[in-house]
Amino acid sequence: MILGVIVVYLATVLFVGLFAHRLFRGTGEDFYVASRSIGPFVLMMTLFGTNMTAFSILGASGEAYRQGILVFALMGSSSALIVPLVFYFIGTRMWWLGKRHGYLTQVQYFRDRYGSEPLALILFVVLVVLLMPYVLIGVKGAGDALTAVTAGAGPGLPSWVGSLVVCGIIFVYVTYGGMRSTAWVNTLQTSVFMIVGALAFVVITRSHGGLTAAMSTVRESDLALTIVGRDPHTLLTMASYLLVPLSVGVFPHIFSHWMSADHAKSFKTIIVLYPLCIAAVWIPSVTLGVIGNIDHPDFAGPILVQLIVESSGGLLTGLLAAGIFAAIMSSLDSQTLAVGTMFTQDIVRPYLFKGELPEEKQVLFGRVFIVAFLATVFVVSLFTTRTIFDLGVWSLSGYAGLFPIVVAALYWRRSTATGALAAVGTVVVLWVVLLARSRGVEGEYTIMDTGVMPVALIVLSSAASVVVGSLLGPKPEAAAVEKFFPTK
Amino acid sequence: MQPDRGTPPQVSESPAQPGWPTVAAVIAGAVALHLNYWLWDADGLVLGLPVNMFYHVVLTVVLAALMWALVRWRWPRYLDDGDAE
Repeated sequence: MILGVIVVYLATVLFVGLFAHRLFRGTGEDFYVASRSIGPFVLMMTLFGTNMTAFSILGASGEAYRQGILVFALMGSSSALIVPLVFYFIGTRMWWLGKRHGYLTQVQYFRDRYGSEPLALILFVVLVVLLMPYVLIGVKGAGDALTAVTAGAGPGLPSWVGSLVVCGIIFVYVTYGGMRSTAWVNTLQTSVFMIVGALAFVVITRSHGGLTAAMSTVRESDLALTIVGRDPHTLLTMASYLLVPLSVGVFPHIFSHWMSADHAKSFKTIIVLYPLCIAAVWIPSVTLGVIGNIDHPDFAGPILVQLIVESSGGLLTGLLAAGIFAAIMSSLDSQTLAVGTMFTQDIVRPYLFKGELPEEKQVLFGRVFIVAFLATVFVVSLFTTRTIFDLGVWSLSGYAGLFPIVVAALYWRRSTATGALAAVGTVVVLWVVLLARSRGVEGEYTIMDTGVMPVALIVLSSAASVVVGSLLGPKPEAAAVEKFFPTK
Repeated sequence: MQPDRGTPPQVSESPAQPGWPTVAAVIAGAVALHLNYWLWDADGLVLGLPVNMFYHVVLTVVLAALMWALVRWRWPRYLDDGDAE
């Protein structure tokens, strides 16, 4: 039953992905950004689905199981506040620039904006390197999820099977249909994991006598799980966590979806509804994680999977697996397409073809890089341990650290390539140093044990570097800068 | 890459639009609401949810309303002018 539901779901995904290809126009712009034709509803669903990873379903419930309801404020509520503002201030302006100047990648914009080849190359490397752990989490997570839901009384399917299936399905519809297939499939996948989350919430809380009864039981046994608590570091930690969602303004895969919008006003739907979408996904994840403490006080595996297997039959377990696959694939497909776009547009096009790459070759190179990237990721996932999950959090901190560069480029005429290079250098050095210092630290690493998360130091230092570096260099020529700004 | 399409359009603002200082103040207020120090020790349940979590769920609804107000009254005109191209 479980495998049957998964197979039906994956077949539906393939059908939608391949069906979207019927509208393919054969150009590079169509393959990479769907000819900038995506409307408000699909844009909202695909952006939200891309930004929700396996962590939002499995990871959030696991963290809530350990930390309690604090997780909702730290991670869910902070995203509900910051991400729509990033779409408003960064996404819409990037879209405007992309449409005016034909950008398909961030590196194209920065190369044009600052006229610096070294900056473009360094940014390309940093953006791709930071994406790797993030992508590996998805591939590895799919394998682990399939193993868990098929375990039953036995060992379950090997982890590599789930990883291979996810990579294979994504390979087919992303290489075939590009951005349009990705966006359409993501719309389906986002619907699936939101519905499955709600369904799991109803079934599991009912099996515990209702939400109030279940939460009362948790509260009586361990009050700390149902309050935030006044740890002396809580304020600084919560403030630090507000900076993590700034990474959304720098993710290459989110940028690609911004570029695919048909009109600026299509952004309005996602900006307004994003906080509500966050609530719809995070309420089930967090509450079910907390409730998991009732029957499993010392559980080490994925608590949500355990609860569903206990509370329902094979159908809901299969749907849960489909929901997890949906959350993983809706991010992984966009990330894969973004990497293919970047290799083709930022490396092959300017360096091998001097900017003149025929349309059909743009599509061909994109497909080749997508295949190569997925194959590499799958092979690496076979040799990756769970420590990659820890590295994923650092991946977000690295992207958030680059956020001040994006803000400076978009809103500060006086910013220069020197400032941007200084900021990238600062982010790379701090990221490596702080990651090294965090090794071996039990629990969450904070700066000098103050509660300040590494992301705060990285973002603030990056902002200082871009300002100081820009002011130290010569002022950019007004004529060269004006085309990147709306006239006031 | 498509060719440059000329000088960017004018940014026009109607007198009814709130100024950027107002927008910044509202965002700062939202951040303050997010860091709800006064509820960190609050015990009890509201509609089955612990008080602090219920507060944050309500906050997501308030944020949605704020975002609606932002795009309704402070939507940059140049973005829609760009649509016409």
